[in-house]
Amino acid sequence: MSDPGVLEIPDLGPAEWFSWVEERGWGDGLPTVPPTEDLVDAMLAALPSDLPEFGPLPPSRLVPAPRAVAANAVMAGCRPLDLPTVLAALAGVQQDAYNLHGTLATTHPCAPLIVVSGPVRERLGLNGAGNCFGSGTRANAVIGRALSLILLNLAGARPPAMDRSTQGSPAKYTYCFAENTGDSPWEPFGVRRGFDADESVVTVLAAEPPHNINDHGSTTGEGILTTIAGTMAQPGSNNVYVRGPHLLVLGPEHATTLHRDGWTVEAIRRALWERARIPVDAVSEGNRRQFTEWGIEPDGDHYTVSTGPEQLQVLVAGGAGKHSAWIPSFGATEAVSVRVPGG
Amino acid sequence: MRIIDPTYGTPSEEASTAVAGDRPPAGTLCLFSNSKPGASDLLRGVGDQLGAERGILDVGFAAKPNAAAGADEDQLDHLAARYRMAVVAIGD
Repeated sequence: MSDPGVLEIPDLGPAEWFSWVEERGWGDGLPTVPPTEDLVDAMLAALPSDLPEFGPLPPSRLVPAPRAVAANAVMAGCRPLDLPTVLAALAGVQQDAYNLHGTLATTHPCAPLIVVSGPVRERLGLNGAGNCFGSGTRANAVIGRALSLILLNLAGARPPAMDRSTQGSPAKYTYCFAENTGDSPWEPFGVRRGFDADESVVTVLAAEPPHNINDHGSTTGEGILTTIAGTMAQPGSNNVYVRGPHLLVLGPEHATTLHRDGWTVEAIRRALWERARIPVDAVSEGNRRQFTEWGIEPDGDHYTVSTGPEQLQVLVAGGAGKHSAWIPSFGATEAVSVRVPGG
Repeated sequence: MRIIDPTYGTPSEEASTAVAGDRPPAGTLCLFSNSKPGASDLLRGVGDQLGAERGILDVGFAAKPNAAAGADEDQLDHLAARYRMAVVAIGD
């Protein structure tokens, strides 16, 4: 009797394997590593014992077999030491507050963002410095990609049948970075999310790709906040009418200037809540009707971005240069933080 | 070579409600909207045409309470028990 979930297939070279995977609809369009039984079992053997449990994944309602989860991690290029972080992210997106079904089936281009905090960043070589949103770092690339493959292959969020995104986004391939605590003047993001500094944590959010905030001209925190507020005041963002969380990723130079001028994280959140306002006349009449149907009315002659300062998550990541990023979310979701098994 | 199927899992054991099976033609059909404005418009057109061309009247209408979340299972169970068929519109 054959083992469930194990397939005997002919030996295939890299190009043949690539085609074989695509014919079965298992891939994301990029080459994958064959999830051979020995590679998958080696990955599972390295796992710590304090693993989260996995329920049915929507929209397929399939309860994933642990070997299948590990197989997706192998396909993504993960090493055994990467898997606990992938599993923590998977546990995060399964929490009700994340709204996995809605975020996978929507026409919105959201993707599962993973922000990593704590000591696992160094252990895995995760990048929270220069080009942290971009290519070039294996851990960033494969951890985000593993979660995306799990959601494609096990949750069934395959476009175009179930993932109905109008345009999608490049972040759907992989979307993972580390916070940069070494260059942050404030308490680490993971600690502000309620964890100890020596705990490793992932925070997941169904998010758009980063929107760049370029400010080379301002030399004060006040000036930088003016530019950030202007970038956030977008009439086309889900956060205007669906509301929900959004993320500000400050580059270290902007963060340093803000801190020098006395700005705390809480003060930044309050200031941006007050200043990131969308003039009513920047919103079309039809869209104003749509906002009203969602129960959203302007505050005076402006619309607000989400419901209050607490919806804006602030952290530091990136390298040298005068750029930061605003990351709007799907809206009907929450940022969920989960401890990485094994610390 | 032996590989692990990356799609392998077990179907969840959640109970499903039997679909109503012995209803007369009237009252058998529900139009179910994802609650976006386009979906409701589309379904109203479908309902009008079913009435005009097929004589199907007494068509039910339901909508998800939130366009950004999946349909609530209790609501789906209720509709499955009440109707034999549903036309689902996901138009934006």
